[in-house]
Amino acid sequence: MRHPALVIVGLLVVFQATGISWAQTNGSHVQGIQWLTDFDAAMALSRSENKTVFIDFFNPN
Amino acid sequence: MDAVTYPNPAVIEFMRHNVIPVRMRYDQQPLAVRFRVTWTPTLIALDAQGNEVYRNEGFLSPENLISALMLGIGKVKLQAGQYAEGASDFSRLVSGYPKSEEAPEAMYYWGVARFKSTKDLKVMQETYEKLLAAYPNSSWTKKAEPYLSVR
Repeated sequence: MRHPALVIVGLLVVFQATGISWAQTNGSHVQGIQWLTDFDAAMALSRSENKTVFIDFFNPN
Repeated sequence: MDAVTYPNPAVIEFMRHNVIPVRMRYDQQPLAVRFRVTWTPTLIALDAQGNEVYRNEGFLSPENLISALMLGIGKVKLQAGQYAEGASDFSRLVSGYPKSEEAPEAMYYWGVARFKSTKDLKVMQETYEKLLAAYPNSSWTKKAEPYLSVR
């Protein structure tokens, strides 16, 4: 049986790792889509992956 | 969009495989000024140089977002001279989402992309006939009508 403390530490690690990707959404917390906020990085990625960049300008309020 | 469209599994799947998604506040500078953002949501497709190729303003349902993305992708390829690839994207949109608002425009540009690669005006005439049959009341059908009389 796993020690409860280990379970909590494990959950915290998962949450923190997930939080990193969510941070990329600039606080919008839209799950499932890896939003980028760095325009230049997105353009570079677009050229290397041959994919189209779409920008969603949104109102957080 | 956050409540309905972006959490949709089909949207997530399409975006994951086909686009580089960027999210910005409507007032984030210098991009908000550069792209003249006046309304939200504003969705803009860019070419490889960062120039705007396609824009949609206002809410999009999951199905409409996917068809809008497909239209934008096709237009980027068309503008880059990748006519066969663009025609293929437009064709997929029309066959996959025939009732979407973007479908008539996609059918129009499907004809444009094919004409650009063949220089054959019959392609545009054929496109008009297809538009007339599928979307008789669309403005895109009217835009294609003059090609019927070109010889």
